[in-house]
Amino acid sequence: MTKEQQTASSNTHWQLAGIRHHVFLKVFSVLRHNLLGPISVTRMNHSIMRRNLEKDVFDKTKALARLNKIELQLEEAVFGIRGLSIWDETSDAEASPEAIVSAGLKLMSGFLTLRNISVERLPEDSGVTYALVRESPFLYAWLGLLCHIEDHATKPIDLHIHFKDPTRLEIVITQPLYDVNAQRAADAPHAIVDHAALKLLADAAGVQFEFSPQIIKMGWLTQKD
Amino acid sequence: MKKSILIVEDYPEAGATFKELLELLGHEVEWVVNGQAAMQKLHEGAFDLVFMDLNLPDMHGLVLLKQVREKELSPDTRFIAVSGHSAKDAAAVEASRVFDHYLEKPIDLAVLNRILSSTA
Repeated sequence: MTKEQQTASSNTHWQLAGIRHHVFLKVFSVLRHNLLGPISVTRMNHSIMRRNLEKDVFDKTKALARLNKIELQLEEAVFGIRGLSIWDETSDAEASPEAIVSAGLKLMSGFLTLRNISVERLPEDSGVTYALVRESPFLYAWLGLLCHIEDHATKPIDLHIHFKDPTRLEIVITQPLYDVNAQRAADAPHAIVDHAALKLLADAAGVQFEFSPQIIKMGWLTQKD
Repeated sequence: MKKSILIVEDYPEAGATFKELLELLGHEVEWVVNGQAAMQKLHEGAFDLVFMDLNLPDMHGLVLLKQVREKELSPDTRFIAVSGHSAKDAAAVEASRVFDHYLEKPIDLAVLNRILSSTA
Protein backbone atom coordinates (compact mmCIF):
# COMPACT_ATOMS: atom_id res chain seq x y z
CA MET A 1 0.00 0.00 0.00
CA THR A 2 1.40 3.40 -0.99
CA LYS A 3 1.62 6.28 1.43
CA GLU A 4 -1.29 8.01 -0.39
CA GLN A 5 -3.41 4.88 -0.09
CA GLN A 6 -2.57 4.60 3.61
CA THR A 7 -3.57 8.24 4.15
CA ALA A 8 -6.84 7.76 2.24
CA SER A 9 -7.63 4.62 4.24
CA SER A 10 -6.87 6.42 7.48
CA ASN A 11 -9.05 9.37 6.44
CA THR A 12 -11.95 7.03 5.64
CA HIS A 13 -11.51 5.31 8.99
CA TRP A 14 -11.77 8.58 10.89
CA GLN A 15 -14.65 9.87 8.76
CA LEU A 16 -16.57 6.68 9.46
CA ALA A 17 -15.74 6.93 13.16
CA GLY A 18 -17.00 10.53 13.19
CA ILE A 19 -20.27 9.66 11.46
CA ARG A 20 -20.86 6.73 13.80
CA HIS A 21 -20.14 9.02 16.74
CA HIS A 22 -22.78 11.44 15.44
CA VAL A 23 -25.31 8.61 15.05
CA PHE A 24 -24.50 7.26 18.50
CA LEU A 25 -24.92 10.67 20.12
CA LYS A 26 -28.28 11.01 18.39
CA VAL A 27 -29.69 7.97 20.21
CA PHE A 28 -27.58 8.31 23.35
CA SER A 29 -30.35 10.14 25.21
CA VAL A 30 -32.76 7.30 24.45
CA LEU A 31 -30.26 4.66 25.61
CA ARG A 32 -29.74 6.65 28.78
CA HIS A 33 -33.50 6.93 29.26
CA ASN A 34 -33.96 3.17 28.79
CA LEU A 35 -31.16 2.31 31.20
CA LEU A 36 -32.57 4.63 33.84
CA GLY A 37 -35.96 2.85 33.78
CA PRO A 38 -35.02 -0.08 36.05
CA ILE A 39 -32.75 2.13 38.18
CA SER A 40 -35.67 4.50 38.70
CA VAL A 41 -37.96 1.66 39.79
CA THR A 42 -35.28 0.36 42.14
CA ARG A 43 -34.97 3.80 43.68
CA MET A 44 -38.73 4.05 44.21
CA ASN A 45 -38.80 0.60 45.82
CA HIS A 46 -35.94 1.70 48.04
CA SER A 47 -37.89 4.84 49.02
CA ILE A 48 -40.96 2.75 49.86
CA MET A 49 -38.91 0.36 52.03
CA ARG A 50 -37.17 3.22 53.81
CA ARG A 51 -40.46 5.02 54.47
CA ASN A 52 -42.04 1.85 55.84
CA LEU A 53 -39.05 1.18 58.09
CA GLU A 54 -39.05 4.78 59.36
CA LYS A 55 -42.72 4.40 60.26
CA ASP A 56 -41.99 1.04 61.93
CA VAL A 57 -44.13 -0.73 59.37
CA PHE A 58 -42.30 -3.94 58.65
CA ASP A 59 -43.83 -6.97 57.03
CA LYS A 60 -41.18 -9.61 56.34
CA THR A 61 -43.09 -11.25 53.47
CA LYS A 62 -43.72 -7.92 51.75
CA ALA A 63 -40.15 -6.83 52.34
CA LEU A 64 -38.81 -10.00 50.74
CA ALA A 65 -41.16 -9.58 47.77
CA ARG A 66 -39.89 -6.03 47.32
CA LEU A 67 -36.28 -7.17 47.53
CA ASN A 68 -37.04 -9.70 44.79
CA LYS A 69 -38.45 -6.87 42.65
CA ILE A 70 -35.30 -4.84 43.28
CA GLU A 71 -33.17 -7.82 42.28
CA LEU A 72 -35.12 -8.24 39.01
CA GLN A 73 -34.75 -4.55 38.22
CA LEU A 74 -31.02 -4.71 38.89
CA GLU A 75 -30.78 -7.73 36.57
CA GLU A 76 -32.60 -5.75 33.90
CA ALA A 77 -30.21 -2.84 34.38
CA VAL A 78 -27.22 -5.17 34.06
CA PHE A 79 -28.73 -6.70 30.92
CA GLY A 80 -29.16 -3.22 29.44
CA ILE A 81 -25.62 -2.17 30.35
CA ARG A 82 -24.17 -5.35 28.83
CA GLY A 83 -26.26 -4.72 25.71
CA LEU A 84 -24.30 -1.52 25.16
CA SER A 85 -21.56 -3.70 23.66
CA ILE A 86 -23.32 -3.57 20.28
CA TRP A 87 -22.19 0.05 19.98
CA ASP A 88 -18.62 -1.16 19.79
CA GLU A 89 -18.02 -1.45 16.05
CA THR A 90 -15.53 -4.26 16.63
CA SER A 91 -18.28 -6.39 18.20
CA ASP A 92 -18.84 -9.71 16.40
CA ALA A 93 -22.42 -10.07 17.67
CA GLU A 94 -24.93 -11.09 15.00
CA ALA A 95 -28.68 -10.54 14.79
CA SER A 96 -31.46 -10.81 12.25
CA PRO A 97 -32.01 -7.71 10.08
CA GLU A 98 -35.63 -7.61 11.27
CA ALA A 99 -34.58 -7.41 14.92
CA ILE A 100 -32.07 -4.67 14.15
CA VAL A 101 -34.62 -2.70 12.14
CA SER A 102 -37.10 -2.93 15.04
CA ALA A 103 -34.47 -1.91 17.58
CA GLY A 104 -33.45 1.07 15.44
CA LEU A 105 -37.05 2.20 15.04
CA LYS A 106 -37.59 2.03 18.80
CA LEU A 107 -34.51 4.17 19.38
CA MET A 108 -35.59 6.74 16.81
CA SER A 109 -39.36 6.73 17.40
CA GLY A 110 -39.42 9.84 19.59
CA PHE A 111 -37.33 11.87 17.14
CA LEU A 112 -39.40 10.72 14.16
CA THR A 113 -42.68 11.52 15.93
CA LEU A 114 -41.50 14.99 16.81
CA ARG A 115 -40.64 15.58 13.13
CA ASN A 116 -44.13 14.37 12.08
CA ILE A 117 -42.70 11.23 10.48
CA SER A 118 -44.98 8.25 10.98
CA VAL A 119 -43.73 4.71 10.49
CA GLU A 120 -45.69 1.66 9.44
CA ARG A 121 -44.17 -1.81 9.36
CA LEU A 122 -45.96 -3.79 6.67
CA PRO A 123 -46.74 -7.48 7.26
CA GLU A 124 -43.93 -9.73 6.09
CA ASP A 125 -44.21 -12.77 3.84
CA SER A 126 -44.32 -15.90 5.95
CA GLY A 127 -41.73 -18.61 5.62
CA VAL A 128 -38.85 -16.30 4.75
CA THR A 129 -35.70 -16.95 6.73
CA TYR A 130 -33.48 -13.98 7.29
CA ALA A 131 -29.79 -14.71 7.57
CA LEU A 132 -27.98 -13.11 10.48
CA VAL A 133 -25.86 -10.04 9.88
CA ARG A 134 -23.21 -8.31 11.98
CA GLU A 135 -25.31 -6.30 14.37
CA SER A 136 -23.16 -3.25 15.08
CA PRO A 137 -22.35 -2.01 11.54
CA PHE A 138 -25.86 -2.87 10.32
CA LEU A 139 -27.45 -0.93 13.18
CA TYR A 140 -25.22 2.09 12.52
CA ALA A 141 -26.17 2.00 8.81
CA TRP A 142 -29.89 1.66 9.56
CA LEU A 143 -29.85 4.44 12.16
CA GLY A 144 -27.83 6.56 9.75
CA LEU A 145 -30.60 6.15 7.18
CA LEU A 146 -33.28 7.09 9.72
CA CYS A 147 -31.21 10.13 10.75
CA HIS A 148 -30.87 11.04 7.07
CA ILE A 149 -34.64 10.89 6.58
CA GLU A 150 -35.23 12.88 9.76
CA ASP A 151 -32.62 15.45 8.77
CA HIS A 152 -34.20 16.00 5.36
CA ALA A 153 -37.91 15.88 6.14
CA THR A 154 -39.40 19.30 5.74
CA LYS A 155 -43.05 18.23 5.88
CA PRO A 156 -45.04 15.46 7.59
CA ILE A 157 -44.32 12.13 5.87
CA ASP A 158 -45.29 8.50 6.23
CA LEU A 159 -42.74 5.70 5.96
CA HIS A 160 -43.94 2.23 4.96
CA ILE A 161 -41.24 -0.29 5.69
CA HIS A 162 -41.20 -3.84 4.48
CA PHE A 163 -38.79 -6.64 3.69
CA LYS A 164 -39.04 -7.45 -0.02
CA ASP A 165 -36.95 -10.61 0.26
CA PRO A 166 -34.35 -11.94 2.71
CA THR A 167 -31.78 -9.38 1.56
CA ARG A 168 -33.74 -6.26 0.78
CA LEU A 169 -35.64 -3.72 2.75
CA GLU A 170 -37.83 -1.20 1.03
CA ILE A 171 -39.02 2.07 2.49
CA VAL A 172 -41.83 3.74 0.62
CA ILE A 173 -42.30 7.39 1.42
CA THR A 174 -45.80 8.68 0.91
CA GLN A 175 -47.20 12.12 0.26
CA PRO A 176 -46.94 14.94 1.04
CA LEU A 177 -44.23 14.91 -1.57
CA TYR A 178 -40.83 14.43 -0.08
CA ASP A 179 -37.59 14.60 -1.97
CA VAL A 180 -34.86 12.64 -0.22
CA ASN A 181 -32.29 14.52 -2.26
CA ALA A 182 -33.45 17.88 -1.03
CA GLN A 183 -31.15 19.41 1.50
CA ARG A 184 -32.33 21.28 4.52
CA ALA A 185 -31.43 24.97 4.64
CA ALA A 186 -27.67 25.44 4.59
CA ASP A 187 -27.77 27.20 7.93
CA ALA A 188 -29.19 24.12 9.70
CA PRO A 189 -27.68 24.38 13.19
CA HIS A 190 -26.64 20.74 13.41
CA ALA A 191 -24.72 18.24 11.33
CA ILE A 192 -26.74 16.25 8.85
CA VAL A 193 -26.24 12.71 7.58
CA ASP A 194 -25.79 13.19 3.83
CA HIS A 195 -25.39 10.64 1.02
CA ALA A 196 -21.61 10.55 1.39
CA ALA A 197 -21.93 9.77 5.09
CA LEU A 198 -24.52 7.09 4.36
CA LYS A 199 -22.20 5.54 1.76
CA LEU A 200 -19.46 5.16 4.36
CA LEU A 201 -21.87 3.59 6.86
CA ALA A 202 -23.25 1.31 4.16
CA ASP A 203 -19.86 0.15 2.89
CA ALA A 204 -18.76 -0.73 6.41
CA ALA A 205 -21.94 -2.78 6.91
CA GLY A 206 -22.01 -4.51 3.54
CA VAL A 207 -25.20 -2.63 2.76
CA GLN A 208 -26.28 -0.76 -0.37
CA PHE A 209 -28.72 2.15 -0.40
CA GLU A 210 -30.66 3.15 -3.51
CA PHE A 211 -32.53 6.41 -3.49
CA SER A 212 -35.36 7.68 -5.62
CA PRO A 213 -37.80 10.47 -4.75
CA GLN A 214 -40.42 8.19 -3.19
CA ILE A 215 -38.56 4.97 -2.44
CA ILE A 216 -35.40 4.05 -0.58
CA LYS A 217 -34.05 0.52 -0.97
CA MET A 218 -31.62 -1.04 1.45
CA GLY A 219 -29.98 -4.26 0.34
CA TRP A 220 -27.30 -6.42 1.92
CA LEU A 221 -25.29 -9.56 1.40
CA THR A 222 -26.22 -12.54 3.51
CA GLN A 223 -23.04 -14.51 2.97
CA LYS A 224 -20.40 -14.13 5.61
CA ASP A 225 -17.00 -12.93 4.45
CA MET B 1 -53.19 17.41 51.46
CA LYS B 2 -54.58 14.45 49.53
CA LYS B 3 -54.38 14.87 45.77
CA SER B 4 -55.99 13.16 42.85
CA ILE B 5 -53.22 11.94 40.56
CA LEU B 6 -53.04 10.22 37.17
CA ILE B 7 -49.89 8.36 36.10
CA VAL B 8 -49.32 7.73 32.39
CA GLU B 9 -46.53 5.16 32.15
CA ASP B 10 -46.19 2.17 29.83
CA TYR B 11 -43.39 0.42 31.72
CA PRO B 12 -45.44 -1.78 34.09
CA GLU B 13 -42.95 -1.97 36.95
CA ALA B 14 -42.46 1.79 36.89
CA GLY B 15 -46.21 2.54 36.79
CA ALA B 16 -47.09 0.09 39.57
CA THR B 17 -44.24 1.20 41.85
CA PHE B 18 -44.83 4.90 41.29
CA LYS B 19 -48.53 4.39 42.08
CA GLU B 20 -47.62 2.54 45.27
CA LEU B 21 -45.19 5.28 46.30
CA LEU B 22 -47.71 8.08 45.73
CA GLU B 23 -50.41 6.14 47.59
CA LEU B 24 -48.00 5.64 50.48
CA LEU B 25 -47.58 9.42 50.51
CA GLY B 26 -51.36 9.66 51.00
CA HIS B 27 -52.67 10.41 47.53
CA GLU B 28 -55.43 8.96 45.39
CA VAL B 29 -53.81 7.51 42.28
CA GLU B 30 -54.90 6.06 38.96
CA TRP B 31 -52.50 4.61 36.41
CA VAL B 32 -52.87 4.10 32.65
CA VAL B 33 -50.36 2.71 30.17
CA ASN B 34 -50.87 4.79 27.02
CA GLY B 35 -51.98 8.12 25.63
CA GLN B 36 -55.38 6.91 24.47
CA ALA B 37 -56.29 5.68 27.95
CA ALA B 38 -55.01 8.93 29.45
CA MET B 39 -57.29 10.96 27.16
CA GLN B 40 -60.21 8.78 28.23
CA LYS B 41 -59.44 9.34 31.93
CA LEU B 42 -59.12 13.09 31.42
CA HIS B 43 -62.48 13.11 29.63
CA GLU B 44 -64.07 11.26 32.56
CA GLY B 45 -62.79 13.47 35.34
CA ALA B 46 -60.35 16.03 36.61
CA PHE B 47 -57.05 15.33 38.34
CA ASP B 48 -54.88 17.65 40.41
CA LEU B 49 -51.74 16.24 38.81
CA VAL B 50 -50.78 14.10 35.84
CA PHE B 51 -47.35 12.47 35.80
CA MET B 52 -46.63 11.54 32.21
CA ASP B 53 -43.82 9.51 30.69
CA LEU B 54 -42.70 11.08 27.40
CA ASN B 55 -42.06 7.87 25.44
CA LEU B 56 -45.51 6.29 25.29
CA PRO B 57 -46.29 3.39 22.96
CA ASP B 58 -49.05 5.09 21.00
CA MET B 59 -47.96 8.72 21.05
CA HIS B 60 -45.22 10.96 22.36
CA GLY B 61 -46.00 12.70 25.67
CA LEU B 62 -45.60 16.08 23.97
CA VAL B 63 -48.22 15.13 21.38
CA LEU B 64 -50.56 13.90 24.12
CA LEU B 65 -50.27 17.14 26.08
CA LYS B 66 -50.87 19.14 22.89
CA GLN B 67 -54.11 17.18 22.28
CA VAL B 68 -55.19 17.71 25.89
CA ARG B 69 -54.61 21.46 25.59
CA GLU B 70 -56.36 21.66 22.21
CA LYS B 71 -59.43 19.93 23.61
CA GLU B 72 -59.23 22.13 26.70
CA LEU B 73 -59.38 19.12 28.98
CA SER B 74 -58.54 19.55 32.65
CA PRO B 75 -57.51 23.22 32.50
CA ASP B 76 -56.68 23.27 36.22
CA THR B 77 -54.58 20.12 36.16
CA ARG B 78 -50.80 20.39 36.44
CA PHE B 79 -48.93 18.20 34.00
CA ILE B 80 -45.53 16.83 34.93
CA ALA B 81 -43.27 15.17 32.37
CA VAL B 82 -41.35 12.21 33.80
CA SER B 83 -38.44 10.98 31.76
CA GLY B 84 -34.96 9.53 31.80
CA HIS B 85 -33.85 12.13 29.28
CA SER B 86 -31.32 14.58 30.61
CA ALA B 87 -32.81 18.04 31.10
CA LYS B 88 -30.50 19.25 28.30
CA ASP B 89 -31.84 16.80 25.68
CA ALA B 90 -33.99 18.34 22.94
CA ALA B 91 -37.15 16.46 24.00
CA ALA B 92 -36.60 17.43 27.63
CA VAL B 93 -36.01 21.08 26.79
CA GLU B 94 -39.27 21.13 24.84
CA ALA B 95 -41.06 19.26 27.66
CA SER B 96 -39.75 21.76 30.22
CA ARG B 97 -41.26 24.52 28.10
CA VAL B 98 -44.76 23.07 27.70
CA PHE B 99 -45.24 20.98 30.87
CA ASP B 100 -45.69 22.54 34.31
CA HIS B 101 -42.69 20.58 35.61
CA TYR B 102 -40.04 18.24 34.29
CA LEU B 103 -39.13 15.36 36.60
CA GLU B 104 -36.00 13.48 35.66
CA LYS B 105 -35.63 9.76 36.35
CA PRO B 106 -34.59 8.30 38.69
CA ILE B 107 -37.17 10.23 40.66
CA ASP B 108 -35.74 12.11 43.60
CA LEU B 109 -38.18 11.89 46.52
CA ALA B 110 -37.31 15.39 47.73
CA VAL B 111 -38.05 16.87 44.28
CA LEU B 112 -41.26 14.85 44.05
CA ASN B 113 -42.34 16.13 47.47
CA ARG B 114 -41.65 19.71 46.40
CA ILE B 115 -43.88 19.27 43.33
CA LEU B 116 -46.63 17.65 45.41
CA SER B 117 -46.54 20.35 48.08
CA SER B 118 -46.46 23.18 45.53
CA THR B 119 -49.74 21.97 44.00
CA ALA B 120 -52.73 23.65 45.55
